[in-house]
Amino acid sequence: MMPRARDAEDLLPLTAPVFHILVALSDGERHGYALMRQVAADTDGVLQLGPGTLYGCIQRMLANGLVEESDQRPDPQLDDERRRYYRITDFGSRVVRAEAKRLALAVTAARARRLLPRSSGGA
Amino acid sequence: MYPAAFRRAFGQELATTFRNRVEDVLDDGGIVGWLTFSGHITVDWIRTCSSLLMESGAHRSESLGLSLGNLASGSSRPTRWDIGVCGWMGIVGGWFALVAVLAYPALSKYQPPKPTWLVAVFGWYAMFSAIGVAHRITANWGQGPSRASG
Repeated sequence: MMPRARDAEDLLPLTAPVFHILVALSDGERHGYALMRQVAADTDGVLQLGPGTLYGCIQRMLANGLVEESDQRPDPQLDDERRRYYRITDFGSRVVRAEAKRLALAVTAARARRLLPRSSGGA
Repeated sequence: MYPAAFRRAFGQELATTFRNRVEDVLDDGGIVGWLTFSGHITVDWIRTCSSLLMESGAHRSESLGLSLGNLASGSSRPTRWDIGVCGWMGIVGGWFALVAVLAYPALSKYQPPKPTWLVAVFGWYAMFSAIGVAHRITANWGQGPSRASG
């Protein structure tokens, strides 16, 4: 059951683990442990996913059509066969974009009220 | 130790991921890292189990209350049953933490921790904290719902 007709906004707001998992998957497929490490790296170690939280999220994301299991494996010689790889779906991409946009608006509002510095190095 | 359906879906992967994480923590060395990891895993297990049990009990999973979603979103107040589950998981989690920290010397064969008493004290502390929290929660069961519902 792929929820293709659903609006991405229906699923917002996402929780932090789900958002970061989708962000980590947006540049390629990954297995569970790689996701865990990527999320920790992306958040400077602030968000450390435990195995239960990670697979709990993946279970719900699979059920909601945000991610899917990949049948391709990078190189069976280099990898544990028991690992499963996950990739983001088109719907998942739309959802994570919508969430990123929502968060960006929140940051803009916070910045306008001087709760955050005007610019953080970039822009 | 996770609910059966969850184990069937992800058991082997969970075990592999957990093993990888343990290897990393042991490679990094240090009792502090190991204790932090043990605490993190315990909290993760309690959260996951309570979240899965609440969902299966209340059929709330059709919304994307992801991860700790239903607790985090404030969409529903926890029921007595939910609180009871959390309390009991706290107790079991304390024991789990105790076993986890005491397993450290066996797992890190090459670097046995010097302050072993610290490991034991932490384990007992975790267990009694869990029991204390569970006791406080269950002590309020008979007093009806909170007045802060707005």
